[in-house]
Amino acid sequence: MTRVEKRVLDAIEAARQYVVHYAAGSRLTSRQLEILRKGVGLEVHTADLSKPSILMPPFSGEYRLVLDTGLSKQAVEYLTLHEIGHILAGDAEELTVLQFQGPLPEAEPVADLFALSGMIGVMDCMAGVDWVENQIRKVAPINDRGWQEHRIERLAPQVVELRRKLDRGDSF
Amino acid sequence: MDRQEREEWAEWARPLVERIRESEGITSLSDATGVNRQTIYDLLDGATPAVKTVRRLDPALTDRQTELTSGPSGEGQPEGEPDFEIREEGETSYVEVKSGEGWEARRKGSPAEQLIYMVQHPEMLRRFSGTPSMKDAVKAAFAIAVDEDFPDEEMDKLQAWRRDVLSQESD
Repeated sequence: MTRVEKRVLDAIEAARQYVVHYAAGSRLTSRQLEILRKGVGLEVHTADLSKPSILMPPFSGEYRLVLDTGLSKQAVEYLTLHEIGHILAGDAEELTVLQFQGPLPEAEPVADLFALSGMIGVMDCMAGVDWVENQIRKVAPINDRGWQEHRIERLAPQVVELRRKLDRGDSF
Repeated sequence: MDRQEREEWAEWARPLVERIRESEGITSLSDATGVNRQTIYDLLDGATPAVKTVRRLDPALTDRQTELTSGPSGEGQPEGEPDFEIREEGETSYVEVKSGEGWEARRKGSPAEQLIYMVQHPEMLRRFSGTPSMKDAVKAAFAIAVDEDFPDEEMDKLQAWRRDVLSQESD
């Protein structure tokens, strides 16, 4: 098991404190997402931003996520789960410098895989990597800097592999 | 990474460790790629808030991605041992620096003061794609303050900060 996988599985286990069946097979419902969001202490706000989202480390007891007002419902769900992934993985406790000029830092694939494991069901994974790639395109926000396609291609097989490990109960 | 390379990394990281310790407000370095050596030094030279980890990609050093992570003061460190650690994962090498108390100890002041502290350096806020502009940071701060119904005196602090930011942008 890779370090990223281990961290994703730990984050999933933490999420199951709030949503027992998180990433257990079915796609997360809106109500479950809301329970998870409240459980981790994430407040969501909206503003007219030039970027999809900004996550702030906690102050006054809450994390703050500010989402761009122009996002689709699916993008909102994906980004919220992605940031919850950061929080549960312990990667949202500090102010951070992020510059995606090189390989994505480990925290990003962890958050991506955490989000996708909640948004992509067992049936999607059974249909194969190409199918999962298409599903990711549907749920992930379209990126404005051109790395989304690369990110999707890399993530799809990881999602399928993670699904196998979840189904085998490798971490729990 | 062989011994010589490890020593090169150690030599490179040593002054950084010292500067982290000496710099008020900089306790740790975190979570960035594409940050070159000069950027790190620039960060440390300025009045920059806490940064937990800096990962960098330095073409001069065989394109290895490097990570500098947080750590404490070095107390308890065996004498002669470096206060940073180099580890490898596949093609990636990481340098972990031990230093600092982190954001936890800095979470002080009123809500507006904490908010301003965070958003005044928008490049240090986690975001999904790209670096938020200062305008984004201002919008995000006000969205939070309005939604959470900050008291008037807190809003006044934010307004004063926004005026300051906008005046600096127009200079």
